[in-house]
Order: sequence, then structure tokens, then C-alpha cells
Amino acid sequence: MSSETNLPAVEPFTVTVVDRNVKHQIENGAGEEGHPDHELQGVMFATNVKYIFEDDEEPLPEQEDPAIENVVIIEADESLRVTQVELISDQFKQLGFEVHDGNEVSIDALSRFETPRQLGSLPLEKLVQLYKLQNDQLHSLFNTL
Amino acid sequence: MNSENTIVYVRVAGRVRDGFLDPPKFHWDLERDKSLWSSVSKLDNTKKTIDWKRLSREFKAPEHFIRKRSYTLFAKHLKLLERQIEAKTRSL
Repeated sequence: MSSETNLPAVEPFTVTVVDRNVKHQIENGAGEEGHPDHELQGVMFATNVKYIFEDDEEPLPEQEDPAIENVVIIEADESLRVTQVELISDQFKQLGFEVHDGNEVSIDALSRFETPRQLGSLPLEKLVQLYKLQNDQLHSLFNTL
Repeated sequence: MNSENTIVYVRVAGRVRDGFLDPPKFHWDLERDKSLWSSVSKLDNTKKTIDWKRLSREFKAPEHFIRKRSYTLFAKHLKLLERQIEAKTRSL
């Protein structure tokens, strides 16, 4: 099959994973003037990206790297529209994902719930708010089962 | 989750590689993202253009990534300002 000329060039994907765990709200040392993206400590960047072109008969890179703990699989059609995103990990569960212009994939994830000691020193209003938020997150998790 | 313990596979249906090279893996985290933002948000107005190549060298990350990240950070920041202005004008 000859390559068609009207297909867009492959623009590299960028993948960010945001851990919505409430612990990041507690650790947050806020105050300094910064970017809204940086107020939560839970943003992570998956910058080791490999591409698999299904029409190519390249052998799949199946060496098992023991250092790899999380795998993200992004399925795209031939015009590079993202059709599916899947996060495989013991530490994080995927709640959802968004795709922005320019092949930017942002995954909402959740790490294990914790009960950090600092929690006790928070005002009751904040604790109630965190409790409600965790309930919503539990709900989202159940919906992914 | 970082470039060492996480791998992303992008499966492109119905296409051949056609000379495309996988970008090299590089390291990026919240700290770098913060310093990138302080770099690009404080560029002085006398310079008309951003030296992406220099930023890419400085941050040891591909230019396409630095550009995209900066774009996203600016876009989100502008949206936030927009919302704040709306809220302010509504309360007037």
C-alpha cells in the first residue's frame, strides 16, 4: 500500500497524567504566585513515548523492562484522532481522559487513598470537603468497573 | 510516574511509519514545568520572539514539547484570567 498524501504528518503526542488524590491538596504548600496547573502536586508527565504503526510489519517491542510500572496505550486512527486511551498500572487507576488539539492527551487518574497524619490538623470544613470529594472519586472508580 | 517507570504506546491504525522517528525519551516533572512557566511568563517584552532552541537545550527536552507545554500553560492561564474578569465585571 502506498502512503497517501492527504494524511496529516505525525505530530508527537504529549501525555500528562493528573493524580486527583486529595493528598495532593494537603501537601500543597500554596501561597507563592504560580500557575493554576502547579497548585496541585499531582501532575505527572509520561515522556517515554513509542509509536506502533499497524500497517508496518515492525516487530512489537516486547522486551520486558523490569523498571516499567505503568503503561499507557493510546489508540489512534489513520488521521491520528484518538479513539481510546488506557492506563495499565497497579498504583494508578484511570478515571477518564481528555484529548486536546495538537495530540495532547490528559489522563485523570487516582492513586491509592491515604490517611496522612497532617489530615488531623486541618479545619473541619476542609475535612468535610475532602470527604465529599473522596466519595465522588469512589463513585467514579465504581463506574469504571 | 515518570519517563523511567512509565511507557506510552501510541498505536496508529492503517498507517506506515513513513520515516517518522520516535522522539527520544526525556525527563519532565512538576519542578521543571514550574521553572519553564517562570521562564516563559517572565520573558521581557523587548524580545519579540522566544528562543525555543535555547529553552529546549536549557531544559533538555525536545522543542516540540517545550512549545506545546508553554502553549498549554499560557492558554490555561488566559482562560483563568478571562473567568476572573467576567466574575469581576458581573459584580460591578
